[in-house]
Amino acid sequence: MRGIRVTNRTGRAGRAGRAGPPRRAPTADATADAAGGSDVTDGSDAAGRNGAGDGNGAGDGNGAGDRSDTAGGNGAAGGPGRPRAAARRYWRAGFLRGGIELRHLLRNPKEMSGHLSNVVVAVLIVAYVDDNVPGTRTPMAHLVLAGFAAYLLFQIGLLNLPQILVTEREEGALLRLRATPGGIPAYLVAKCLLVVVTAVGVLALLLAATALLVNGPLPQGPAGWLTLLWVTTLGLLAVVPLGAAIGAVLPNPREALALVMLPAMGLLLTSGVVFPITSLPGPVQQVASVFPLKWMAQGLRSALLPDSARAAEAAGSWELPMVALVLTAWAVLGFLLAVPLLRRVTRRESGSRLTARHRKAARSGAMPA
Amino acid sequence: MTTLKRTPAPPPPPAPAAGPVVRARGVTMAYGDLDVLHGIDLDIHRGEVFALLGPNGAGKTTTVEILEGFRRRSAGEVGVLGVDPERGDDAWRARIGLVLQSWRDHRRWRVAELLTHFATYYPDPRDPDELLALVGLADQAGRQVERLSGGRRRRLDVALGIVGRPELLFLDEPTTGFDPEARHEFHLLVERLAEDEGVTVLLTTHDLVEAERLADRIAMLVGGRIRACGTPAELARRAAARAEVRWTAEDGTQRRERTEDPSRLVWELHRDADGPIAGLEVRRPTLEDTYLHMVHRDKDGTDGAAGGEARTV
Repeated sequence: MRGIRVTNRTGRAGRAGRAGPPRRAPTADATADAAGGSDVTDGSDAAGRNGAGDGNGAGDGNGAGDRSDTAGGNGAAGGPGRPRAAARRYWRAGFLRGGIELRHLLRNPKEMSGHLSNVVVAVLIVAYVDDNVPGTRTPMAHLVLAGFAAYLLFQIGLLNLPQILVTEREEGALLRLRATPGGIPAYLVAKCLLVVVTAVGVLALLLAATALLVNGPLPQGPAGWLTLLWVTTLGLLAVVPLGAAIGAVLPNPREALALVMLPAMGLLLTSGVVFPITSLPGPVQQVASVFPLKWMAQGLRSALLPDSARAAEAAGSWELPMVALVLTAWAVLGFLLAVPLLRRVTRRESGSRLTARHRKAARSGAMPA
Repeated sequence: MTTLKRTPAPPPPPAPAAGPVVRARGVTMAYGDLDVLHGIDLDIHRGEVFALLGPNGAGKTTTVEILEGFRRRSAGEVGVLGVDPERGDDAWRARIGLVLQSWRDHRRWRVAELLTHFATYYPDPRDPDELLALVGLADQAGRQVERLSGGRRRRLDVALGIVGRPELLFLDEPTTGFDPEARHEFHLLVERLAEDEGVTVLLTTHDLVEAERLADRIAMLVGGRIRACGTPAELARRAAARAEVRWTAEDGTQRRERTEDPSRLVWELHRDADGPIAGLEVRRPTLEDTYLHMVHRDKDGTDGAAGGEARTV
């Protein structure tokens, strides 16, 4: 107890010499003009844009002396001739990402059982529905199957995709990709790949399983296959961008499901998907025909059912031009909505906002803190 | 005699240190009528570990997010690696690493899979295997991310933050929720990055000990202003709290006295006692003293002398 004990927690040895002395840099006055109108680059632009080069963004009135050039540094991505290499890298990253996500999907028992149970349901429907479509000799089961296939495409685009987007946004994946060069383009490439492969896979499995096990319908001849191809493609184009837009605005995964499920079920019942649309009241038919599901189902029926089944259609024909028109219109609308909404949701991501949402979610018990 | 000799032009500064890595002048931020930042000036130099300290709501997060390019400032000038963060493109992003608190993403991915994937976005990435060893996750490579403990998850976040060899690394309260050992290992990692690889680190933290341990310089942000900035030792010295000398008087009572010259007081005590002093202890002002002083002064609403002097960092 007798010695002098000097308590000095601030004294540190060793690293003091490394950092240069704090230099007093010329204090330029705050020029607000540079800050005024510029948009925070959100990286969701096409990957090719980043050819702008390292220093170009620095023209904020400070003069060139301000710029810290990296001697042999890591900022090489933006050099002349590099944007194409960068774009290639992002596409590659996107495809790699899509592949990895698909692998995770295949290994995830919960999600796989969701998709597979849909196929099982389809097989059961075809096996147990045994009437004919009224006024035709086409099995009712085939009409239901075509509608069910359309509904599955619809569901992948408008239920599964928004849920994936909202979940990944809330977990911070979107923020991490925003902070990664080319992350957002790669993310979009990966998601497109995931959705297209999932949709095509489910559709193929559905048709193959029902055709093999319970004598389900298959397209008739090359024309039928061609119709199947374009209706599926246009149908996905109609619902996937729309789903992305919905995923961009919905608050959290739980609410996302609730908010989208109800209208989707409504459309499932009113779009003439599981029974002939002619059995529904006129006004309901008219409302349903605004939405894409009715037209997707009708298009798939035209691909899968014999021409004689046209008798059960509202117009007495497949109305393929109208199918193409409505689905294209939804695709255009979806893109018009999705691009700004996705850009907005990406731009708004930041660490503190994510933390705030996590706290809120933890309070309401949706997510562990 | 030197009048005839022309003064030589000042030598050009060495290339890597041509300018500060982070330079902010008069940065303000207002949400509606609420001013969150009142003119932040900041210079962070290459290879420096810089800590931003401050109570909740002081504007730390806003400041950092402006520098990260995630938030638009109301006014002022900012250059991060020579680029205005609001216009930072992908090439700029590739030079910056981020470790945030809130990440719990990519849960299904395996550790090595995720790191290898993120390496593909960068022009000159680190080797994922070496990086896993560096952050002490080599034995977790095949594990699913959601099965990692909190500390390991954060170390993975650090690995992801530095996989692209960033020149500037943002660490947002990196050791929240760490146990002491994990914290110690994390500190070693940050020191290694700064010392061996010259990475500039901007750290925000509540933890004064951590700031003191890691940071070359510390800025204290209180009420939207930088109240003090300097090395940990400088800041501690700047505290209004003077050194405290404690001892046990001859009558057995505990005595304490605050003084600017503890050595003199101790010498006087010894001279008066003409012998050893029982229980003698000299307490230097600590960073914590400075910090609490700054925070309390701000709460009291008095803007002390340090307010002006500390503005230009």
